[in-house]
Amino acid sequence: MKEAIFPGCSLTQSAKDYYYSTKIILRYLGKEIEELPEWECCGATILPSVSKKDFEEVNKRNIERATLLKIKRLISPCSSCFINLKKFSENKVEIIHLLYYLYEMKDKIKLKVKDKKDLKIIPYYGCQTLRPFGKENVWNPFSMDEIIEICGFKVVNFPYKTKCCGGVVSQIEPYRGNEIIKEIFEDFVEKFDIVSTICPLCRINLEFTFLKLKFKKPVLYLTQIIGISFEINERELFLNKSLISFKIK
Amino acid sequence: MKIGVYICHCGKNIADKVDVKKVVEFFNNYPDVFISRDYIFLCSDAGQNLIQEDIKNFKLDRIVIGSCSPTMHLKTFQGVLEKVKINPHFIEIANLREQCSWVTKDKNYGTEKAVSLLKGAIEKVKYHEKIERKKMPIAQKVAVIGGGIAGIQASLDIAEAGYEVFLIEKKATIGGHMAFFDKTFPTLDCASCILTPKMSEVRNKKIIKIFTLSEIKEIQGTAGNYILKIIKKPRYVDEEKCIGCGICIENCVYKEGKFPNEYDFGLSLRKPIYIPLPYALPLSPVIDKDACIYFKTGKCPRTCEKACKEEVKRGAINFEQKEEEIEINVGAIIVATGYKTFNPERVYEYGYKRYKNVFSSLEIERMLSSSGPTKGEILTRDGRKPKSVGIIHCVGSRDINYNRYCSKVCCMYALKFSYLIKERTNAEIYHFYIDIRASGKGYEEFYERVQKEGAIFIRGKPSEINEKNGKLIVKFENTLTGKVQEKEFDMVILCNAIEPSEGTKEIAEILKLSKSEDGFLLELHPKLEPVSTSISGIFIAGCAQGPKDIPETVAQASACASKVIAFLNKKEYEIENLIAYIDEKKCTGCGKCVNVCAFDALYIEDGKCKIKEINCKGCGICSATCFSNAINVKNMGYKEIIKQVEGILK
Repeated sequence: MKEAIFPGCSLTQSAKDYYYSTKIILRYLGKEIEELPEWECCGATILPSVSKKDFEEVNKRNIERATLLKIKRLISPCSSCFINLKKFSENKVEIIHLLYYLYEMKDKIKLKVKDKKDLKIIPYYGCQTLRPFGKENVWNPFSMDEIIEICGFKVVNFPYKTKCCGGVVSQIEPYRGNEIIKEIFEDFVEKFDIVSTICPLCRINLEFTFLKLKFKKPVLYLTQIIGISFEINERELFLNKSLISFKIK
Repeated sequence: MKIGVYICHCGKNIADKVDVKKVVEFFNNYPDVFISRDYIFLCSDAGQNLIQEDIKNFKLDRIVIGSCSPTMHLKTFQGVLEKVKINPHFIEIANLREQCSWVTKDKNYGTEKAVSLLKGAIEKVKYHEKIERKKMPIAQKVAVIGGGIAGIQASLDIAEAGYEVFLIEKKATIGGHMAFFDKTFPTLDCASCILTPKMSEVRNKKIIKIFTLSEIKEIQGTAGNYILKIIKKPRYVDEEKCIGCGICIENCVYKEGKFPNEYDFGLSLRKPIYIPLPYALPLSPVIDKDACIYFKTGKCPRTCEKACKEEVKRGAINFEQKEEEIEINVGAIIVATGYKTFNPERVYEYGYKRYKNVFSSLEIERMLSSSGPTKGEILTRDGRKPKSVGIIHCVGSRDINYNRYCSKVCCMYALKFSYLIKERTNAEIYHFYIDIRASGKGYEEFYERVQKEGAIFIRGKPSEINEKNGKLIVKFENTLTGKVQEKEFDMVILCNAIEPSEGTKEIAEILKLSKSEDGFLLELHPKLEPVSTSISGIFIAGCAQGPKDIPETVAQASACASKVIAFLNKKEYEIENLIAYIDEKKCTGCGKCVNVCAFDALYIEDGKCKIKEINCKGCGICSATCFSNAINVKNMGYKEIIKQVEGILK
């Protein structure tokens, strides 16, 4: 076993569609990647504020498991898990965000893409993907842009790619959370069709808030967008499970 | 053989970690050592006298000194030997400070290491040979590379003393960055009014030869006799014939300027033929080969040439000019290649080039200048006067992501901008700073004056700038109140850092000058030799050595000039004959050493390696490369080094 996926708790509950779409596109790309056995929740941003000790133990355990199984690379689709694992990895295991894992395979993706589609997509990286362990310019990253372009979509020139979506603020102070997202997307509502995210929290946040603000634009995971370009069945990509539905024309 | 061993305490530098008395005692009973002594400061006059008297009294013939690095004081102690008429190469310094006491924590280990280093030195000095010094005449000419204020000042001072100067400049005009400025801090006197008299003085001095559009290609020779190869790019206008009337520019086929003017940082447009600045020197136009239709397609009526020939009867324009290679022989070189400004595009969050009203410092300098693109008005890109201006300090300096050092002048020019913009537009001005560094004569007073004018100072570096409805929104934390705030501006000015110019990097490569960590040229000693370099005969001045303001640059340029004059005035230069020599019996002529030599000192003739003595610097890389041990540096050869190692291990 060389590579394993660390789904994190979001992908088993609120972001099931992310997990399944990831699995399916990886299968299309000829990769069967297994889950890290007996993984535990990384604690996200909440656990360290409750107990630093538990937070440390949980993550060290996850890393230890991977090292015992001689796993070289741990793929994390969730930005929060990515940061927490990376913090404790001590170079024993390479932690890679799913975005960069896909970026490495961009040539393979290109081969599978069917037709070009006239959809304008905003690449929304969120705050945690690039901070603090970013591999590229924190203010103007390009990897997701490139993947979306390869898939035959149009990328919207969007200046707030890495702005924070508000995260947990939306749950504590919904009004303030709405304001944050409104500020980011307000000027662009007419200019895009889909927002592409790679973080389960961004997705939930944006989707809920878009509903409230009546933006009526779907928020999809990058993996689902890649799936659309591969012309994978809507059901298999779980497109019908989103709050703001999206149908392939 | 009678060897004298002397150990310096260097105050507490050495004595702290080395038990000097013990070491002295040890060497008193060492074979071939006649006398062993210690002294608190051997480099002092009394210390030198001590050695001198010993040599006289006991007739010592070799000296070993345990002190600081030989780069520091070898010359001093060699001087002592010369005074008592012993060949100055019969000395060896064991570096007890940099290589022993400064890097050792335990005193016992320190003492042990000092003893073994000294043993090595004693074994080595026994095999030292006599080397006679060579005398060479010094060419009574100087090359000054870089025509900024530093180069101009140095040239004038040297020419005043009567030596011929070659002033070499990469751009089409001399004057450097200072020619772009309008006012200078803190006295707010006009930069061009103080620079142009100096420039015209340069023109009037017949012994200063100016080479514009020129670059150094190659250097040969040693101190006192450098041969520089200069590439002079074509201007396509004969400087001798041209009177700078500008009729050619009026008659160019382009009726309006079309190409961004690099002397205005793209804020104005120019024609393919243009005069860089109104007070340029030489005051003659230059043709941009990449823009001119004649060079691009060959189909141009060449109206500029006709106008020059027929209307003013000069015939100065010459489309056939070719690149020239000029060789000059000089005694000394001054490197004053200046700086460039940090590219603020690298700080993505400040949006330089993305947002149209974010300006860099030099653009503002040009705008403020009465000869600039807006004739001294401060205007946003759509031609309005700004109502509010934000000035961000330390862009690219004092930042671990870009440059760690302080660029020294940004605080002061930011205050100058603040004062001038307030005067000309009455805008509301915010400064975002980390610290205000106003350490100079009259600087703090100027800061106070700007504060009184009503500029607002916020301690904190903005995190990002966003554009909304044509306004720039700066997000910042005021670290004095601890509040995160936002503020709208019509214009934002980035005070970008000073970095070593491309020319500085190139020259360092060609002249083999050492650079410090930040890329600026390294002086020989940070305090006592601020204008000399590790290569004798080459001096540095101005921002090539580190960020500086104008008064400091001028002071350093004058210091450089006086050093050069003193050097040339010696008329003869003694060179250390510490060079490589070849054992022709052992040489196989493989040519490996020729490839590694950085100074072109070796060549193959008749299947054997030969040496050009004048080029050899005695670095020894050839010796390390040679398989057959045929090439050695005098007193640093294979034999001596092996003996030294044996001594250390004894």
